[in-house]
Amino acid sequence: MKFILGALLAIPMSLGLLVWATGLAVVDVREGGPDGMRLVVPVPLALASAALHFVDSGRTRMRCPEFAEHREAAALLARELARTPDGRFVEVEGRREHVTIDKKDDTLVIEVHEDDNDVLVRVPISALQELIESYDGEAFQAEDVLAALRGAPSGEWVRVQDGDDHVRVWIW
Amino acid sequence: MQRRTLFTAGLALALLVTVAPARAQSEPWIHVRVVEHGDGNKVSVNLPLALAQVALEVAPRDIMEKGRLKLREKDITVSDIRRLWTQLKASGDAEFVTVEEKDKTVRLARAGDYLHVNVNERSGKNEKVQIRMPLAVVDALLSGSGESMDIGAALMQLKGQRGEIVTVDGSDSNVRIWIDENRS
Repeated sequence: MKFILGALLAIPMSLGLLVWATGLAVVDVREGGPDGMRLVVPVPLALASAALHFVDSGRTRMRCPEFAEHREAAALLARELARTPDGRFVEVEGRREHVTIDKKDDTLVIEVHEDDNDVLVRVPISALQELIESYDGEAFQAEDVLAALRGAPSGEWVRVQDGDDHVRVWIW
Repeated sequence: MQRRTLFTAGLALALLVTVAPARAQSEPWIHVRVVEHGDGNKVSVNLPLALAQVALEVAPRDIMEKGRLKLREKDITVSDIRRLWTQLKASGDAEFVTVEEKDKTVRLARAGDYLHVNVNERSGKNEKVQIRMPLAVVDALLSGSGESMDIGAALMQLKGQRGEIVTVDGSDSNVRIWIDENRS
């Protein structure tokens, strides 16, 4: 009996450990108002990566030919950003808005506050570099995007608050 | 043996703690502050010069190309400015230009290794502009060919400079641009 119970518990625990070790992206969308919808989509990154192997490779290519001419510049900028010490690069203070761009550790943090709208975007620079390097001259591969996400530090990546509506994306 | 290893490790750690921040500190940062009087809006930009240089290199091509600013001025061309600058530079320390008008004074002078531009407007605007530019930076700026100014080369020269470069005290806003080793 103990053996069966142990085996039953081991399955969800191993799955949980696997998800924790290989990364989980969570998208949380909340609409304001009494009838507002709430949508939470957890995506185990390892599972998503594995699932991609069953999809036709042509369908996992995210075509972006216009990036080709900016690739070198983006790579140069990302490399210099990675080398740059932490600090507040930009701050705009107005009566109704406050915008900041900071570099903290490996992350570029962009925050915009305007009346009751807030935007926070955190861009891990190493993930950005990895993503730029993976560009094949015409497209990004979904697998490479997932790999970059998995290698990124955990935390909140995007938070948008527009009145009562909220969108959050974070990675564990 | 163990004591010596410990001593070496301690010394290395002490060096790392003291030297690493010093290295990070010695990198020049360019700072821009704009304070608008009316709305009280404030803009503050702090960038390591190296990053500013890279940002210039990757700026849109219709404005900049490889760190060179293309000018389309019709009144005075960059080639004219370049020719004028060569002559001015050769004349040593002097007040090159002084324009005294009823409501405006413009002064362009060289003192030592710096070019000073002072504009004092006394009309309704009541604006004061002070630019203190190292000669090497002006040289670098005009080192491009044709009708382009080499901002990238000018930034490279600014790496060795510290202190205030531009101050504008205007009726609408105040602008300051300076270089130091602080991050903010």
